[in-house]
Amino acid sequence: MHRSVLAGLSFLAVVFLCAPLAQAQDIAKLEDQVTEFTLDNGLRFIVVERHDAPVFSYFAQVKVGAVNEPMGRTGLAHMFEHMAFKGTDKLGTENWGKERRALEDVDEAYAALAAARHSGASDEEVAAAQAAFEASQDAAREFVVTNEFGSTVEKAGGTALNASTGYDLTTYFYQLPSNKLELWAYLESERFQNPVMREFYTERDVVIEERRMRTDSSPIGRLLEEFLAAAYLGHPYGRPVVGYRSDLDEFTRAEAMELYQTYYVPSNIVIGMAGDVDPEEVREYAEKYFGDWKAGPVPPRVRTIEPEQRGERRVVIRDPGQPFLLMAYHKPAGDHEDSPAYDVLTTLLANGRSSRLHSRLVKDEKKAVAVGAITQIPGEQYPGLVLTFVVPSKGVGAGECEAAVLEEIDAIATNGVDADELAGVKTRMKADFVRQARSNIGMLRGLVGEEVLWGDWRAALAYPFEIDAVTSEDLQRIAQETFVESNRTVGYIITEEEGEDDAS
Amino acid sequence: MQAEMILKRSLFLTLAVVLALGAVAGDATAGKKPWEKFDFPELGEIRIPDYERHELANGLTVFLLEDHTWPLVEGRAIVRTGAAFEPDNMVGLASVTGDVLRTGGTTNIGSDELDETLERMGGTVESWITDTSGNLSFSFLSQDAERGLDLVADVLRNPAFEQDKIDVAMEGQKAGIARRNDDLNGIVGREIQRAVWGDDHPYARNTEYTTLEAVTRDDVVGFYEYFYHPDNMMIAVWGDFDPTTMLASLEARFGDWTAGNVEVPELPNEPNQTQRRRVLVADKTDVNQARFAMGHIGMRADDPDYYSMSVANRILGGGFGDRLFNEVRTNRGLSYNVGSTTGVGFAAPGVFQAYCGTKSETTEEAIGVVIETIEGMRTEKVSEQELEDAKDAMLNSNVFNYVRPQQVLTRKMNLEYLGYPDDFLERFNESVRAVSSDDVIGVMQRRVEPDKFAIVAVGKTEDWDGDLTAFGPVEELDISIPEPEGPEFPDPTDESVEKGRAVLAAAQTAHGGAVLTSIKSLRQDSSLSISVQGMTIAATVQASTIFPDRMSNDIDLGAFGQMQQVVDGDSGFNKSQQGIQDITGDELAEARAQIVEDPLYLLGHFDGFPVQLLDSETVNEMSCDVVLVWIDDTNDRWLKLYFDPASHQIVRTQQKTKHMVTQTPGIAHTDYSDYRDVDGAKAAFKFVNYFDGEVLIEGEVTSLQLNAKIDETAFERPAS
Repeated sequence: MHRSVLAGLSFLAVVFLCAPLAQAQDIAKLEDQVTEFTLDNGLRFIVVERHDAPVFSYFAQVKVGAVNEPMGRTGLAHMFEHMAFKGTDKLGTENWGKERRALEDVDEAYAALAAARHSGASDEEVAAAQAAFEASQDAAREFVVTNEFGSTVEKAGGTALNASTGYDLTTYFYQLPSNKLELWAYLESERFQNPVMREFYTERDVVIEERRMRTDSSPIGRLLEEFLAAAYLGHPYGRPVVGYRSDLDEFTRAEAMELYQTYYVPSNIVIGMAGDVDPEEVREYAEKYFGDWKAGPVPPRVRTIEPEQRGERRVVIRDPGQPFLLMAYHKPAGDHEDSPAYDVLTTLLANGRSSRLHSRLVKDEKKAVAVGAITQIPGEQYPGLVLTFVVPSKGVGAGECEAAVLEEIDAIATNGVDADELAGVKTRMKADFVRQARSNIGMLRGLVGEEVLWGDWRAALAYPFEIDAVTSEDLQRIAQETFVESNRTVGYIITEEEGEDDAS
Repeated sequence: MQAEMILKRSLFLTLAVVLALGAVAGDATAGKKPWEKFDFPELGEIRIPDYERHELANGLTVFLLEDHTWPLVEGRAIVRTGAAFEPDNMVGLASVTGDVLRTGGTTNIGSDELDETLERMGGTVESWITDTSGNLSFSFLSQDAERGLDLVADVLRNPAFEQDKIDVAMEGQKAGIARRNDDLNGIVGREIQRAVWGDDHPYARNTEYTTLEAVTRDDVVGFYEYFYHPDNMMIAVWGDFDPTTMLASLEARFGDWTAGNVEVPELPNEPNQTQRRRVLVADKTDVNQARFAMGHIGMRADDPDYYSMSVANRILGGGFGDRLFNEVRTNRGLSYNVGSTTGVGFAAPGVFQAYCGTKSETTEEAIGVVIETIEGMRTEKVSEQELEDAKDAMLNSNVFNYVRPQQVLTRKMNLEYLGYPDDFLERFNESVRAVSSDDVIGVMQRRVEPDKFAIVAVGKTEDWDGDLTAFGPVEELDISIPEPEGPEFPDPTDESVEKGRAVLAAAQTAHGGAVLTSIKSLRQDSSLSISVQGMTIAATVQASTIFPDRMSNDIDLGAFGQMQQVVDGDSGFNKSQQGIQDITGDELAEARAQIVEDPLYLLGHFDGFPVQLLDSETVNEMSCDVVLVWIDDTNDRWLKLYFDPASHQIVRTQQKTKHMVTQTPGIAHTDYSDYRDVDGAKAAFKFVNYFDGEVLIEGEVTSLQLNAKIDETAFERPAS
């Protein structure tokens, strides 16, 4: 077992004595709160001690996401995330022995149904297989204690219980009163080590509803799916996290388990805890409940590297929804030394009322009602995109805003940024850092994210210094490198009622 | 001068929540599941930190909470106002006022400079107005606190409401309207409120382009000036400061702000309509999922049923593994997003609703399951286990309402603003503990009545598994967005102006040429039949007009009396049984315009007015040349003239006006016929005047004389 406790970084106070924000003291104080340890099986824990209130937040990330899915199995990581709420061989069942056999029957009935569908069997045969499949599900459901995991967490006072799947990571989180620490250890160790894929096919229907809600029935959801696919020719960042409908329709329990066995291994997971907890106690429970979890092989890496974009790409959707503009350029991955500079660039360009695009498009020209920029989308593990979006004013089309965005981007590439403006952006970003660090979940999001992706949670705390170090020349340089036409993908929604003829 | 009152409240609350899970002493572990066997330590004591409450002499209530954990000074102000108080024809006024309070600069610092100053110091000030309150929040690094408070005070006391930033806010509002049907959840969320409260109710009415049009800067300033006074607001400040110093800082910046003695209207907390079963369906074709909500009016949190309702809703649809989640989502896979809300509001009653999104093909099925699940809780008591689980969840998680010191502070401030009892927060645990399964079924039977649900469903109806008539009479819900009125007329072009003049010139010739250009006066007697408010009134008018700006009309309305109306250049008067009243301002301008609009004058003097030819229109089966004449384009006064293309005679005139009795705005047109020669001119002896297409006045000219001598006594103002 390896454990390290940080000594305060008081030497930084000397270096930054003149820093207007007394930044170093804040950072040293934050670092003092953090304890980190790793179990023998490779499972990492980050514990932030804050005793203001008798609660703690739990935030764990697994390094698996849409980026790890092969073609034909898009949406599987997200599907598994849903399954992680279904319980274990003890939690969520009235009789595991009988249920396990019933679940095997379900698998068989499903395989038979799939075979019937794809082998050109008659309608009657397919209907019979469908009926048998539904009957097998009903039989298995008899043993289920519905949503026992979730109710147990909530009964104990848990709040904000949820999870999310992205391109790089799957995240699990909730909060509990701090006297329930052992309950947490039990529940999470069980969930990670002994998940049962019960109610799988019904949950698949739930995921399909989620797809309908977020993508199919949402104008911006529709645009984004097309847009990412255009920006990426081969790398999995171009595929939807929720998955393509045809892939969803073919998922099996076995495939979900396969993903779990490959990626949910201790060395691929970082567990974060923040709040009224004693790191020693957390370590004891960690050893007790997670210690026997067998280490697994290092999961496979993603081999495909997105080739360099050779020419501008455009996606235009004619849609009943209102106009929208997306513009993105490829950029290096999150561990590149220019990452902080990209953050500064997007803040200066489009985030906040005094940003370039807001000033111009929203305040002066009134062609837009909202603008924004995101430094890294859809993921940061691999080279991502720096993205700008514009919500045009009523009666204004996406095209009318595009020129302004290009001009403002150009202005940075050509002229750089003046010292006052840059200093102001940095101050704002550092103040926001303090606000984020103040929240337990905010703090964990930074620490766990850095650790699970790059193996270096301390980088989260070094962030304000990295921002400080960005120069106008840096901004100009990366603007010149990145914002070139051949590196650009543009997406529009052009508003058109269904059935209208193509307009220009 | 009122002495400053200092109230220091010390609240040390020990919320030791006894845990129900396996905490009972003894061999209670028998038969329990592994996770139920833990022996948890007592929940840590929650100490509510000290906060101070002060009232400045001018009535501003101040709450202060010292907290040095982070180098931040933050705060929140609440103002007694709300969108509920905006006039019906100006929906959106409060929203815009709330926004532009912040974005429009102050009288000391311009808007862009304010934005930059705040962002460059990493500080924020935000302002918004909801249905029932005005709000302002701020956050500064403690090193910037003094400057930050300067800005907060400046924004609250001296907002400039720059017109340009009002325009920006308006664009935002308009875009919001244009986008309000893009998202199913948004549509249903909006329409259930309208269905329950009533379409025009202050809590539910839509902002529309026309209501935004009506809002001027004067209205925005007026709204602010009415409500934003120190004795009509409260401010809470928390963070890295010393309270005594902070109080002095606030006193320095707000102390000399004069109280306003604002009369705040009552909140309109009653729905406009009876709650009854309705099924409202709107078609939206670009989706493959339907979204529905069903519900009716709920209650305020000071209702005695509040605690029972909270527990009941927790079981029904308020958590992971509640009945709706289990039945609709987990067991049947019908939905990703399904649940219910308590219907409890703090300022106003909320709307109890159950909501769900499901694929089009299972819309009717899902509605049925939701209703069934709700009914289930009205017909059968919940089990003791379910009840205890729900109460455990609520009691155990209550600690999360006390995690950040400012949570308690802002809640206390809000509750005081709304007039709730001082110990409202503290009562929560014991009140929830006291709820029984009898209480739960009782509240479900009395306060959740499916027979009175409005059911709102939106989606691609052609793909639905039913027409929903099984749930009640189905009404089609029109969610179409009323478009703003476009510009009334196309921009004039050189061509349309030239052609317009040509038509008028031809008409001038046809109606008498030089006689019209040289006309000085006229005397006209008419007999009228006026149709108004279901009555027909016979009247005669003797009109004497000296062009361009003098007229004297004697009007005999028979049993309704006699009137005289005189306009003499810059003045005028009406004489009637009620006495003599001056005609001034808009009314005078209107009367003078009417003189000029007399066809016999206008056709002879159209050179002085902007004109243009419009598209031909058909009047009484004849395709007419239509010319637009701007009588006074500074006040939007125009006259459309319709000409017979062959004879060039005026067939019709049309203009905007107000109904003579009700004063509602509308379109009036007058049709002319029976042209006769009079003193070398052609004049119409028959006219019919319409308002919004309905006949108002039918008239006949009984005598007409051009350039008659008109006695000056006609314009004399009588003594009484």
